[in-house]
Amino acid sequence: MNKESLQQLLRSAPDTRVSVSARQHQDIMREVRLSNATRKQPSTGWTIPAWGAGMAATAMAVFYMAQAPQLTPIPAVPEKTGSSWAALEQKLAALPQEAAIPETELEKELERLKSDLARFGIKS
Amino acid sequence: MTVRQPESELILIDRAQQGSVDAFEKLVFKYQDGLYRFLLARAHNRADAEDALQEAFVAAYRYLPSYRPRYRFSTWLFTIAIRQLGRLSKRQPTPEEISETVSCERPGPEQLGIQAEQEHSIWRTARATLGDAQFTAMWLFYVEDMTVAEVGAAIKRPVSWVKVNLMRSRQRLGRALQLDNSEHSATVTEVAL
Repeated sequence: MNKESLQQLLRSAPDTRVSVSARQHQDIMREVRLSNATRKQPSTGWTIPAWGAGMAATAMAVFYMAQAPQLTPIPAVPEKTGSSWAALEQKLAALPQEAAIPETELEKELERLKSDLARFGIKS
Repeated sequence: MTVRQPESELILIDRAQQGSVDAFEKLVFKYQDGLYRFLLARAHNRADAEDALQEAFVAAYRYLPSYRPRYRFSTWLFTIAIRQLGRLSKRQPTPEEISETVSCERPGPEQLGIQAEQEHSIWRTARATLGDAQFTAMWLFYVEDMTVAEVGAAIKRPVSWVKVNLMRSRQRLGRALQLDNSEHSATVTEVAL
């Protein structure tokens, strides 16, 4: 069998009697109609190139950076820690001595809790 | 880049892209038989071919707005169908399909007659001889009259692959047919004796 006769045979061979039945066609179209709701929406037909998106992102970044509040600059020479400690010591000394000490308050609260438990017959 | 495509078809595609189901139905009528023949030849069973046909048209309708006439509509449609068929053939067969396959192994008298008629069909030999991609390339090129570039686009292979494999497939098929003919004539001689 030569090349030409084989090609001729390939082009003529498929069985043209095979066709889609009316029922199959109806099934297809029913599914198509059902899928109408989930169909992808038509696109606008134009696209944004990558370089354009990049430029837009840069422009937005520059704009927002200009709008941002200025931060307090960090001093070049740090303050002396010795003077800070002295100032803190003075502040602590100035606190009123009569202020309740938290530990004492906690002990009182604990005693109250113990007496309540004893009253209800619960052993701590 | 646009391709050779009848103007009437472009109008139908445009209308279907706008959402006209009637226009899409005309496209279905035009392509359903050709696509069905291809899927029947390619699929492992009739159920897969029928499912792939239906799913291909549904997917085509759903994604039609994204179709651009870079290739012919038929190329785009066959690409979708090949993908659907690939997806279906990966799944496990259902018990009904297995029983269908088993029953096909023992055909009745009517089926035997049809089978005998088809046994020497060139495409049946091609299906048995060639791999999936080679068979698809041959079918699209010879039956669907696609160009080598369109075949490449449909099966996602480079043009060089299509050219080489069309030639190799032809050679392999030619050898297989000669073998078939010699086996057939040997059987006839044995019966005559």
